[in-house]
Amino acid sequence: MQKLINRRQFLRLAALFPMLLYAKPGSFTSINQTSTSGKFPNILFIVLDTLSARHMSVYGYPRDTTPNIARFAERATVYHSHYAGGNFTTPGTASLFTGTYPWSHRAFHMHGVVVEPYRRKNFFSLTAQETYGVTYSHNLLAESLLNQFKGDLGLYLKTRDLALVDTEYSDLVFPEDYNASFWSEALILRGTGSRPSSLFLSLLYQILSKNEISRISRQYTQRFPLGLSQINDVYYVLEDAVDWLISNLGSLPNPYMAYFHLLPPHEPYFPRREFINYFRDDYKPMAKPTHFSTSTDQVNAVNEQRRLYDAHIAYADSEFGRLIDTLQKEGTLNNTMVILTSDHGELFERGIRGHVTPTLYEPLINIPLIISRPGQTSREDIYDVTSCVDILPTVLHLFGKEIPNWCEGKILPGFNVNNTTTSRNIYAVEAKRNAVHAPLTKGTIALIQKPYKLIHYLNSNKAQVKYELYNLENDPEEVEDLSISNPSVASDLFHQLEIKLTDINQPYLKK
Amino acid sequence: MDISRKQALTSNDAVLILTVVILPIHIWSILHVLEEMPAWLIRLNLWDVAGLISYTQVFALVESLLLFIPPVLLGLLIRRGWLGGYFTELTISIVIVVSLWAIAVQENFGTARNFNLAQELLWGGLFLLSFAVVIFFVYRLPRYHAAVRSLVGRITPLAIFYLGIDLVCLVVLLIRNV
Repeated sequence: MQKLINRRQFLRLAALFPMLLYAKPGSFTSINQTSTSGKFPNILFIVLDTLSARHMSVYGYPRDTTPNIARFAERATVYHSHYAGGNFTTPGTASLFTGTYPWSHRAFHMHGVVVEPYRRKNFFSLTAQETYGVTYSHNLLAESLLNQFKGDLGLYLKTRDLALVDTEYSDLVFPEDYNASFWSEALILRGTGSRPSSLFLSLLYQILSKNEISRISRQYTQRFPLGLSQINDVYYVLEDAVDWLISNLGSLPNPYMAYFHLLPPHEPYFPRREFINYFRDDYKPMAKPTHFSTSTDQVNAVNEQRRLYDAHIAYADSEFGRLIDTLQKEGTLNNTMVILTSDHGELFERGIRGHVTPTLYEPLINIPLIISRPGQTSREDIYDVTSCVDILPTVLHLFGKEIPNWCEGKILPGFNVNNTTTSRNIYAVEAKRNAVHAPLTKGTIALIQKPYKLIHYLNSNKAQVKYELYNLENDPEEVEDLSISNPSVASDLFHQLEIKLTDINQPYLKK
Repeated sequence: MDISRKQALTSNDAVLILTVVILPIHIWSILHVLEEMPAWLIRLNLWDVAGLISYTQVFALVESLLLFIPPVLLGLLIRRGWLGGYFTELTISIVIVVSLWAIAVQENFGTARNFNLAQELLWGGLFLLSFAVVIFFVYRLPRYHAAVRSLVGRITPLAIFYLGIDLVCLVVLLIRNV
């Protein structure tokens, strides 16, 4: 029997439904007023989770992983030394939203959210009067943060709205207590690192959900032979989110602030069929010294994972190209600023694979930032050091707003005519083991002050190094640790970092 | 006519069954909450930690009731003489065995998921055999009845203690969600 609508059409319709529920009263009537004035552009964030700039051909990576992003960059501003706030989704995304480093917003744990004083210090809330906020995230860690801001959003799409298999229930039953109920559900039914806390029903749940996942996966075997992309048992295909954007972006109230956090190339690296065999080449990454946290992963295994990661980037790049090409053809982007970035990178060196690591090497924190402004026709390259905390002040600047004094970022070069290139310190923080309301004493902090980068391991024991120093201009691969050969620079940067730590820890010291 | 005297389940028996249902579910749940507690204390404030504990314990209560209600209904429907008058002892023993199997499966879930047919048949056979052992104990060892009742009776206060915790947790959930 012929179906009335197919699954994709259903998804599109279903995705529109919450728009009606969440739409601010009058927002659709105000659309014409704002769009005719054309005072502010729409802003579309495309955040590709775990996309390392060091793996993108547009930034010089030898494998041609991003031909479509390179085309996009021909009419955009390309930031070459852009840094994430941390080495995984929670701190990276929270810093992007709030314009503050993890030591301020305190979302630096796997299950973290920003602390209450920062809940409304984000670019959605600060521009809620001027823009129609729309958000979606495949990644539940980013979803936890967006859920904190949903009161200031016009349309808050849930992860399940564009997912193939959704096995979460807590937010339906306990919408007022999202984070605690969500992570409780994870412990009760799925286990968080250990076994589930439910003795009987979790078994039933796991059997039923595995069957459902197997059923869905079989439908996609032809296109995704390695399996479906998933995180926290939420399964999806990137194409559905891209299709949603193509179908709905043009009908959103203007000016909108749309934030789409899409998982590829986050692991598992399961690209679409035609990309699986990409990059079976002779490329051999530079051998690097092992790190004290190095796992036992073999070099060949790490390199094969690197190849699959690169292939996954190429797949995400192709979908990004399809999105931009279609939107441009339809004229949807005429008054839209497109911001392509990521929340953190990925590492395939020194025996380390992934981003769950105490290290902060360049592939983990050097992320892409490519911004295409309405009407921009040529490429601009910016080599100044920038951070994801610079996004919020830049957005506020675009809307003619004051930069709040709590903001730790600066307006991005290229946006502020008064901006003079001065030396500045950029930070990235890894602090999963540090208590949320305690001084920052456990973890790793990177301080980037061009051309140097200091990586400081807090609370390191005697067997481990306390800090590493690299000259990123002479040694972009971070092979030669200068902390011994250039002690004066190391000591100076370390001293600056100590002063910073003293300052940021002050509110958390017991009186 | 006193109908209750003809039913297989008395209120005292129901308490004994409730005890053996509550204990494994709650002990399992609390152990895993304690396992997670250090990580929670690092990243959450105390009110959120109380929330996470409350969700897990209220879920344990719901799970206990779901397991408790079917045998109770069955006990109210069948007559005392059925099952040789050993309904309570049989139910208690089955709940204990099923709980032990559930713990075994939880501990080896990754392995169990990948069993081939022969392994499934083998473990399925052992599962059935454990019931045969239970039936043997109930029907062939009269001293087993007294031992079961005595043991479960002694640990009933612990089950009541867990129920008290559940009620406190229920109040916490209500406060968090209202």
